[in-house]
Amino acid sequence: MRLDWPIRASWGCEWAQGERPQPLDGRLSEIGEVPQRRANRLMQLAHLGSAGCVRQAGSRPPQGTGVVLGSRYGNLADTIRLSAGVLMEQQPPMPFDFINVSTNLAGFHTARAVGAEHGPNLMVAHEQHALVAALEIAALEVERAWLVGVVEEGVWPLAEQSRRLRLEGCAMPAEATYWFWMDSCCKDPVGWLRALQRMPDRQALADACRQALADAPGPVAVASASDGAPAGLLPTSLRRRLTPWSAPAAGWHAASLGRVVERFLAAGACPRLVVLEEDPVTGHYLVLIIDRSGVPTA
Amino acid sequence: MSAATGAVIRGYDVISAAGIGRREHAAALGAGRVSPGEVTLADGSAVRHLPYQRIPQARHSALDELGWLEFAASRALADAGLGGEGLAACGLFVGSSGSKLPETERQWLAECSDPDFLPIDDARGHGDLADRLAGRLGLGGPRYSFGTACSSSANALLYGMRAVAQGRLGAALIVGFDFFNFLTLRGFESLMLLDPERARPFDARRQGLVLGEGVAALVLTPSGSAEIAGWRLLGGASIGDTQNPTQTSADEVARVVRRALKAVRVEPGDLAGVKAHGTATSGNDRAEGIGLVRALGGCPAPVSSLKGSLGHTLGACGAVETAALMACIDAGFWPASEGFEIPDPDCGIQPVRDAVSLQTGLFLLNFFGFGGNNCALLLECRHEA
Repeated sequence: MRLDWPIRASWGCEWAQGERPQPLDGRLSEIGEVPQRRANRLMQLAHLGSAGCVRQAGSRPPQGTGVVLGSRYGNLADTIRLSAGVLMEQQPPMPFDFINVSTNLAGFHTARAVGAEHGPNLMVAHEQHALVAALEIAALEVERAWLVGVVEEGVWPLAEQSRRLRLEGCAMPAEATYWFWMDSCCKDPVGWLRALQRMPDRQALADACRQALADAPGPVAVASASDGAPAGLLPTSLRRRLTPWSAPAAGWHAASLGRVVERFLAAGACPRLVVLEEDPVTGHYLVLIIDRSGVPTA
Repeated sequence: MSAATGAVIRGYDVISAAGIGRREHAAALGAGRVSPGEVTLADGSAVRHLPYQRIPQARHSALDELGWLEFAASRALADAGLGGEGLAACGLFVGSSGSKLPETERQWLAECSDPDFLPIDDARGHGDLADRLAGRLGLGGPRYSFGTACSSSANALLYGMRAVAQGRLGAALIVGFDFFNFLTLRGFESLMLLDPERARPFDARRQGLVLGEGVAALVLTPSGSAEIAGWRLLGGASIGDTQNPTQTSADEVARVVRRALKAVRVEPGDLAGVKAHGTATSGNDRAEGIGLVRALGGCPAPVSSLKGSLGHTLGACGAVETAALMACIDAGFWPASEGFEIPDPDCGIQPVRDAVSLQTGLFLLNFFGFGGNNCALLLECRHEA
């Protein structure tokens, strides 16, 4: 799907999980935010990322701005904690704990914190590509401004979380929050989501990459957020025309596509990035084409 | 009648305490005889029984949660006549509140004595059920798992409709589901929102909700100009209320209803019926009733809540109540609002106590969820001229 959708602002951060949760109040204060009462970690992470994104834009979201939060695991830490009480001790959860265990409450607090009122507030889960799912849902109302985010919280104990995520060797679980303010009315965007395409086979994947090269404003970078990147499936002649690009990672988390896109918009050397992913269920390929403003095109 | 086209609802199926399939729903809701169910909770040595509307598990005891989803979805796809290329172009929009909690709770209770036990040992996350369902059904389109509490599958319907109406997908399979789990039951008990006997939406004696299980699947395809007869999801609105995470206001109800009507370019007087969210909790029923009166300028069309019959199926209720309502209209009647007997003047509306003969029309369906997730849908049924 061709979108040519301006990205007014983007912001995000990630860090490796330590042995204990790192308080987030200081990070919120750094960007001028006041921590919300009764907020769990997922809410704090969503608040941090969305507020950072809005701060980058230098203006508040207009009335009707939508919020869509993507996540693979959502509110896993509280779900484990409350389930332990209910299943092992027959203890009912405390009322606020139970209300907050709904992952969409992070979207509620996000909208309230950044003043995104009277728009939709959605939470979309996806195993591999929560950011793509969130962007595709938002793109169904492209005339509306949207704050689109991906958030993954840490779960402690650290060793248990490493086992749960099937991390091997020295790979470290990480927390992440990445947000994008999509706004079709923006005249001075940090970049554009040019296209978000699903390709049924390798030939179509190659055709999409050729097209991305043909209408590019300059050199084109290629990246993937997951292992087994489909770029290796492209013909050699095509691959040579793409510059491999990657964003430094603090550890492993399921929001890595957010990291790739946000870091490219902040510091990419080429004016265009093509992100290639594979959908393991259908065997189809995903192609995101992102352009970055302010990069010399020569 | 409406000018908007939306998407055709080509096929559907529903499973709840009212039965398995459309006919059983129409029969049970038409006769007002959905049997009350219950669950047993052990608190130490004490045992308690709480009302809970469960699906008839015993009739298909081999099915687990994914099995029920596949069962309902397969029947809806067959009803729609979708196969081959249709399946390849079909996206999946799932809505649920509890998602995989029943599965993880079973695993927890079975394995917790193992020294290597890892709570919720699930590397795949919330999208897993959608992935597995799409794999079993051979769907080639994208998959989205909506988690917006009790409006989850209503939002799945709305955004699935938009994807089809905009030509982004050849078809959309919408699946709403929620099954019994201890965390949800204990949580609502902790909030003191459960009625100890039965749900009485909008009734002056209401004390709270009764939880329920449900699965429903609906297949949406593009609206063709030649297709006059049948069901269409015309559109709607989804708005986040940022004032209160558990208790929306009459103003916010009126806002989402007005926006839904505007999106579809219809007037309140065009409505043939209103399916209220109607949880039977004191504050929400009052806010919804007053909000409906404000948005519609009174409420001349028949109003019903289905939660007195089906229980509150939480994230499933968008799909389950839509499909159950369609089953009733297809059988020629608007269902009674079970549990409603004594009007509450604070609510401003009086749901219907008896089924009303009705075969076509334009219908408003409300769904509200924790986190301020308010969604209103407009559904239309036309018969051959």
